[in-house]
Amino acid sequence: MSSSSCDVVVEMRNIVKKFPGVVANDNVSLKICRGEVLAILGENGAGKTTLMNILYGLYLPDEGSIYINGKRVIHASPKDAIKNGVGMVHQHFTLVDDLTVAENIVLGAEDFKVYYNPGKLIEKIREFMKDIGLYVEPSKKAYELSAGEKQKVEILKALYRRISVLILDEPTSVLSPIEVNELFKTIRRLKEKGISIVFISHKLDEVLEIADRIVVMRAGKIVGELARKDANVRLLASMMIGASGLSSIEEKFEKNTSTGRKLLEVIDLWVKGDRGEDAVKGVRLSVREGEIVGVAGVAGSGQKELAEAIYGLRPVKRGRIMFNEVEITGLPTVERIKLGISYIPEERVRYGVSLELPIYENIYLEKIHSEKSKRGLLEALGVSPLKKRVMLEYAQHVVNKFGVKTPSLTTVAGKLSGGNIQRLIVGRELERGPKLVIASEPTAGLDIAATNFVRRTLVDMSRRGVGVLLISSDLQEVLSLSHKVVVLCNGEVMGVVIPGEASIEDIGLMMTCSKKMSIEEVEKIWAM
Amino acid sequence: MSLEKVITSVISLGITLTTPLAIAGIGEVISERSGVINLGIDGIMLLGAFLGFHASLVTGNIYIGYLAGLAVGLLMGLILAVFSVSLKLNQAITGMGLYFLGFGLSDFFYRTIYGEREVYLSAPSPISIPIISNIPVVGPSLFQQLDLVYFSYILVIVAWLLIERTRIGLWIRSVGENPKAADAMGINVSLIQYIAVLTGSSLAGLAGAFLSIGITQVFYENLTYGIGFIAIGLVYFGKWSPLRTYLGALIFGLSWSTAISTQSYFNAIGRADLVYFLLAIPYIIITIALVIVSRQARGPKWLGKPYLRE
Repeated sequence: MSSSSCDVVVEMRNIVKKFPGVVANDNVSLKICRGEVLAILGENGAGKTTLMNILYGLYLPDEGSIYINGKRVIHASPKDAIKNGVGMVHQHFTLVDDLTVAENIVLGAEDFKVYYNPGKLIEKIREFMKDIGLYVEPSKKAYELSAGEKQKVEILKALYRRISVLILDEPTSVLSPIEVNELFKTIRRLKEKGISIVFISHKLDEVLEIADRIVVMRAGKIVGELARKDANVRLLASMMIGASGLSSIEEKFEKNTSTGRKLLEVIDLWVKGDRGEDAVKGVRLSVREGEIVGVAGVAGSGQKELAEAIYGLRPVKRGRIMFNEVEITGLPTVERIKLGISYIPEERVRYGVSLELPIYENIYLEKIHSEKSKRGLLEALGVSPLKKRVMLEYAQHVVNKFGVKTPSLTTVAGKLSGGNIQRLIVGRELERGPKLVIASEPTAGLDIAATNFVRRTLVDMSRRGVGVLLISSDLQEVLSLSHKVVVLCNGEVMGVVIPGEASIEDIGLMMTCSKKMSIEEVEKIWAM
Repeated sequence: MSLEKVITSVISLGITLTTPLAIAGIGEVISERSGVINLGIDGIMLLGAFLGFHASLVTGNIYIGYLAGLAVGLLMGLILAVFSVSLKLNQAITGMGLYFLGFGLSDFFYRTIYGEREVYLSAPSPISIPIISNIPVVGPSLFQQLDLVYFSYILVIVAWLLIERTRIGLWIRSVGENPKAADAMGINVSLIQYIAVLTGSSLAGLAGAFLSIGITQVFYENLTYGIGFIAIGLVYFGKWSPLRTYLGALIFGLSWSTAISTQSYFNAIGRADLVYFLLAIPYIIITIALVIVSRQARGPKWLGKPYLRE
C-alpha cells in the first residue's frame, strides 16, 4: 500500500517544530490512510512523538498545516483533536486510580448532566466494550489494573469519543510479551473496523510484525517510507540509525566465565506488596561474584518487591537475605549501601533521582554514605560539611565517563531526557564501586545506543567480579546477558534456567504459571 | 433525675455539639476531595461565628445570621482559592494565613463593636419532628433539635450523593486524584477546585455561625477552641467520606457533652480543678482515635499539591 493510492484521513504538510537548541520536526509531511497501521520508526529523540503530539494538539507547530478529510484544521488542544476524530495513548497513562474503569472511560464525555448510577454506568460500558470487542472489567478500580489493562482502558477512552485515528506512543514499552500479543490483536481488530492506527516505536521486530506501512524518522526528518513487504530488519535499522551507526546494532556480549564465591543469598523470602497481598512467595536465589543472574517474568510478578526487599526499601515478612555470608535482612538501606549494594530502580523518575536537585548533587547523593571524614563529631551528628568542589569534580567524572548529555552540572535533573537520566543513575550506582548491582528494567524506554551502553556496562562490571541481579521484562535481554535466569510467576519461582539450555517455549510456560520445575532440578542448577 | 433523662440530655447536647464540627468537617471533605487542603477553617469558623452573632443580633433574625456566616465563608474561601488554586501557592501556608486572618479579624471586630460588654442572644428554640420525637431517648435527643442539626443530617447524605453519584462529584474526585488526567479529558481543573473550595469554606462559615447562634449565644475571643482543626483531623479519621466524618464528629460531640454533664458533679464534691482536665478529655479521645485510624488513611493523591500544567 502506498500513501498516494489510499483514502487519506489525515495529512500533515511541511510541519516545522523547534525547541530551544533542537529542531524536533524539520519540514515533515505525512499522510495517514483509512484503516491502515502506520508505523513511525525512529530512535529516541528522532521527533516521532513530537510530530504526533502536534497532530493531537499538545503542541502547535511553528510552521505547516494539518488537514483532516481534506479540510484544514487547527488543533490547539487535545479537545480539538478528539473532536476531529484523533485520539492518542501516551506511554505514561493518564487514568484516575481511584475511579472505576467505567468512570475513567466516560470522564469528561459523560452523557449525564447531574446524577448517575454507578451500577448502570458499569453495565452500559460493559455493553460498549462488547460492541468494540475489547474488554476490561468495568467495575474494577484503575489501580487494580495491570499495565496492559490500563492501556486497553486508554484505548477504550479514545474509542468512546468516536475517534477514527488512534495514535499509540511506544505502546509496547510497558507490556510483557503476552500483553504485546494482546495489543497486536486489538490493533488488528480496530483496523478491521476502519480505524487508522499510528504506531510509534523504536523496536524493529514489532514494527515489522504489525505495520502496513512504515515511515522512518531520523533527527527530525522523514528518511524513508516503505510498505511492510519491502522492509527488513537490516534495511530499517540502517535507515533509522544512519549507515554509520549500523555496527552498533545487534551487539553481542561475551559473558564473563569465571565466577567466584556466593555474594548474595536469598532464602525463602516472603514480601508483601502495596495492597498487603503476598507479592514474593518463598523466593530462593543466589548471586555469585562476577555472575549475572536474571529475573524473568510478566510485569507485576513480584520483581519490584523482590528488588526493594533486597535493597531494604520494603520490609521482609519472612525469610533471610545474606550478603557475603552475613545476614542483612533487617539492616537499613544506608548500611546496605555501605556494604556495597547498588540499585538501579525501575521507576527511575520517581525513585531514581530528585528532579528538583542539580545533577552534581544527584550524583553525589549516595556517595556521601561511603565517605570517611576526619571530622568525627560533625560526622556523628550527621552534619559533616560537603565540599562543593569535590562534588563537582566527582560529578564531572561520572558525567564524562557515562556520557550524560547535559548543559551543565548545575542543571536540575528534571531537565534531562529519560535516556540521560538513566545514564546518570547507572553512572552514579556503578561508579561508587559496588559489589552487587540490582538492576530493574535498566534499558526500558532507551534507544539502541543507550541500551547497548547500559548492557555493556553491566557485563564489564561482572568481569570485574561484581555480582548483578538483572530484573527485566525484556526476555531477550535477560537471556543474552545472564548466567542463570530465575523465572517468576505470581511471586513464586517457577524455575531456574541456563540460557541456551532451556527452550523459549518452556520459559514462556513458566512465566504464565503453566509449568513448574521440581525442587531437585532447581537445586541442581543453583549448585552449578 | 432519672437515668433515662440523664442519657437523653447527654446525647441531645452531644448531637448539638457534633453539628458545627460535622458541617465544617464535611465541607473540608468536599474541598480535600478536589485536592485542596483548607487549613484555615478554624479562622473561617471564628469569623462566621462573629458575623453570624452580630447579624442576628442586629436584625433579630437568626437566618440572616446564618446567611452572614455562609457569606463570610464564601469570601474567605475565595481568598484561599485565589492564592492556592490560581496562584499555586503553598496550601499549608495560605491556609495558616487564613486562620490568623479569621482569628484576628473576629476579635478585632468584636472588641471594636462591643468593647468589654457581654451581649447575649436569646436561645433559639428546638424544632420537634412529629411522631418520631416521641420515641424514648432517641426521639428527644435526635429529633427535638435546632434547625441546623437537621441540616447536618441532610448534609451527610447530600454530600455523599454529590461526591459519589453526580457528574460534578466525579470531576471533583478525578481532579483530586489525578488533575493531569482530568485536564487531558477536558475538565477545567481550576474551576472544579474553586467550586469545591468555596462550597467547603461556606460550610465552615455556616458552622461557625451555628456555634455562636445555636450553642453559645455569645461571642468571645477564640470561641471555637480549635475545633476547626479537629474538623480537619476528622476528615482523615473519616477517610474523606462524609458519613465517617460525621461519625468522628459524633465521638467528639458525645465525649464533650459527657464531660460537660459531669462538670457539676465535680463542682459539687469540691474538685473544680478537675473540670479543666475533664474538658480536655474529648480532645485526648479524638487525638487517640485519629492516631489509630489515620495510620492507613489514603487520601486523594494530589491533595495539597498545586497543579501546574506543563
